[in-house]
Amino acid sequence: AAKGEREQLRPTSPVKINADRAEWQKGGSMVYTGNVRLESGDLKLSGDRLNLTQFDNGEFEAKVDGKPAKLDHAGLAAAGTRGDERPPVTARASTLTYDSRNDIVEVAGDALLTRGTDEIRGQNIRYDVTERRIEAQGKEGCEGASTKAGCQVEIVIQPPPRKGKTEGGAAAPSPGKAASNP
Amino acid sequence: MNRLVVPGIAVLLLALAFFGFRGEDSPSEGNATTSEQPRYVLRGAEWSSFNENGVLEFQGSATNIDYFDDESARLRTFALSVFGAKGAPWTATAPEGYSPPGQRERLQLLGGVEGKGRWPDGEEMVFSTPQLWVDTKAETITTDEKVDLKSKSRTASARGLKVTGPKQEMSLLHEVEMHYVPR
Repeated sequence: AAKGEREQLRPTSPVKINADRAEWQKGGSMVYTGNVRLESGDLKLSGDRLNLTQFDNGEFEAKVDGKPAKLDHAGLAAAGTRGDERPPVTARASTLTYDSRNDIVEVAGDALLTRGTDEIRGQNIRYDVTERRIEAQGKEGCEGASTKAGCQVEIVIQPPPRKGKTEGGAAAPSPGKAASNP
Repeated sequence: MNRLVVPGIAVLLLALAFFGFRGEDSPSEGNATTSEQPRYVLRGAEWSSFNENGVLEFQGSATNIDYFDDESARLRTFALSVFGAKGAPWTATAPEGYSPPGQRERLQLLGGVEGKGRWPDGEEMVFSTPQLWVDTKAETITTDEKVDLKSKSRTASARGLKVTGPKQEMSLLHEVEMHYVPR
């Protein structure tokens, strides 16, 4: 989306954070611990610990750690901004870092992201909340490694159900598996 | 206005134009933990407390102070200002105040406290809680009850609060909910 349109799409709803405890030192970020949940519009992040750094203009960066940290971004019905349906997106990883200035979530550490029924695995996945766009990257330093396990991005795309397929019809064709080098 | 100046070193210096003696209707009568009568009953009083180096620890005013022999005090309509020396002052008001025996540096505000302070990043905020402890020696403000904090860009609620003055450190102890309002 063009910059102006992107600005318009970007959520400006209030942000709510719940946690067992919060600590804040002068000149430091606010640290929330225990059952942490962040909600901003239809985006939800949860985990064990959240470091929130606020910037002067009220924007913020929230770094969520967990076992795993989770992201849930509600889907949009067919009447979505683009007219097409936008499936819900979820993510699981060791760390999620959400920057409200560009509305991007960095999903890092054994990352698994789902978009509807599709699955994307990789070391680092970048999710653009406004555009609902996903960029994934494998592990660095894997060139020449004997095994590619864990090095590459893996995407499992479920084919959409065939139109007019009756209940219990022939099994859908096996999901396409794609892998790309980092 | 009666002034009760309390230096850190033992002697209690009273600078009073007028004070009431026993037998006056004092707030401690009905519910006082100490059955004895107050040594002094002060009306329209100011309370300033200084540490050993003569630095002002806190300033308070009350419509009524009952000061007892065990160095405890009961105050009514109590307003208090702390951390004035280093950080920007925190202020609090409450219908009642209490200072335990021999612990002049500790003050409890009771009956619904309304106060002003600052988030660690300096933004001014107002807070309210049923009761509050102020320790002017440890320079801490604490409560273990529900507390609501409100400023232009944030509102928070929690059960339990601890603020350490000099380091401007704040802890919300349990059941934290924070709302950030986008600017």
